[in-house]
Amino acid sequence: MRKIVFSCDAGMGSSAMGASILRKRMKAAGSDVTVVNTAISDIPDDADIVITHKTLTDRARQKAPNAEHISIDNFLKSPEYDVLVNRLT
Amino acid sequence: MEHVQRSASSGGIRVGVQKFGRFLSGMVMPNIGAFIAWGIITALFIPTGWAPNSELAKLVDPIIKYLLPILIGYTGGTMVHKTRGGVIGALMTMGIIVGTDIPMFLGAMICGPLAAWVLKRFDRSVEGKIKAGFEMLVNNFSLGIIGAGLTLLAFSGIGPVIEQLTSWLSDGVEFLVNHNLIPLANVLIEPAKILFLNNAINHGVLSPIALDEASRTGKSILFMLESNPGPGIGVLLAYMLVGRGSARQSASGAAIIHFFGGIHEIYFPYILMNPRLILAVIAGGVTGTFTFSVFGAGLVAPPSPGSIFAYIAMAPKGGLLPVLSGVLTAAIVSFAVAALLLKTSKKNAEDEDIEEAQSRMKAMKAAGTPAACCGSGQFRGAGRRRHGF
Repeated sequence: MRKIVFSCDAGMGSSAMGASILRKRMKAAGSDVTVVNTAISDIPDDADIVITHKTLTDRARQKAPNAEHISIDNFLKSPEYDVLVNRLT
Repeated sequence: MEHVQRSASSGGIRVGVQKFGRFLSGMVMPNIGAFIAWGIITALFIPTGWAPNSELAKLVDPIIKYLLPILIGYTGGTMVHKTRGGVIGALMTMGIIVGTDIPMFLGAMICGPLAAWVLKRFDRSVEGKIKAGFEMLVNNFSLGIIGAGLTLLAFSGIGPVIEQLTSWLSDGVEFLVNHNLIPLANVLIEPAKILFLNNAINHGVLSPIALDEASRTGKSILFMLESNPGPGIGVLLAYMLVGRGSARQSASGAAIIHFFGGIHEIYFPYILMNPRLILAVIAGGVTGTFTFSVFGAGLVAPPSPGSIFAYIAMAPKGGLLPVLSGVLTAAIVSFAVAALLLKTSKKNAEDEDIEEAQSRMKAMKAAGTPAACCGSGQFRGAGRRRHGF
């Protein structure tokens, strides 16, 4: 069981959208990982993977130095989503 | 990923600015629902509203004067010191509200975190020194005594200072609006938005000043400086019509989410991948705000998220047309400039696509699978690729 945290500045806009897209992809691929969205300042300690837009990754890294960080460019369709889905299923 | 590497030196400053901005906007954003509720009640029941009702209009004043600043003070306090911080933050905010005659949003944003910080210092200093069984007594009375002191201080000392500050700020804004200088703000706002300072600027700085103005005059143009969906939709439309490759394909989906869903972050990458387009959103933003300013447009409460639906819902009675015209002119100008820039930078756009393709190739190679991908990004492999070093 792993926990993926989608994070943005406020934890309301782009992260909510990105998390719902990734959650759907994971479900369709038959994976039961948890995908949640938070503000960067609220990234939980038990996050395994933290996904942020590349301009916010530096900040996310400070908040959660032990998690694996993934930078994305495009919230709707990133190659990183495919990579993650393949990796975790 | 190269981007992260290159910006590592400037990253410290950017991270600092983003964090401070988050601190300011974080006090306001969780409470936007309450602002919208106030906006609806106000738009309906005030004497110039859709359904004037002097009985129900009694709600308007207490909500903006007491409830909304206290919510901000409470939220600001919790950000510093959890629930205890929230409680003492709300308390000190009350001092500043009663000590002045105007809505105290700026005061709440200062007092909430300040009170929580003081309590946090105290809690730290007594940690581990309280005798067993006396924790509750110490906790309740420390908050009570410190809170009472800070509330009195806010009432008599800080309130008048912040009242003066607020009046200078609103005089300054009034000056800018009266002299049609307010569109220049967009020259700074649009680039800062792209760097994910959108919430910091809108809800950290503009919304509190705008709420002051809206509570006095019924509407404010300041709600629309950052949140105008016009400039973003112009760029996305330009990508849809004259863009290339994957950016063109995804632009229509992004346009719907941006314009109707109000998530502006979605268009930032389209500008970051071709930074010259910043000129398009600046031109669009300046034009939009200029149009708002000429027609005297304003909204009653924050349109958040910055969707066209929020704009329509928060427009005052009889004020819809000026609002929509500013969105429209912003979109047209931004579209025209963006289309021109995209047409003259086709080569760059192609390079970008190739770079993307290359990074995908590398990802696939790393996993040792043949590059047999097809269709909408359904390729396999790339197992251990690490990102963003």
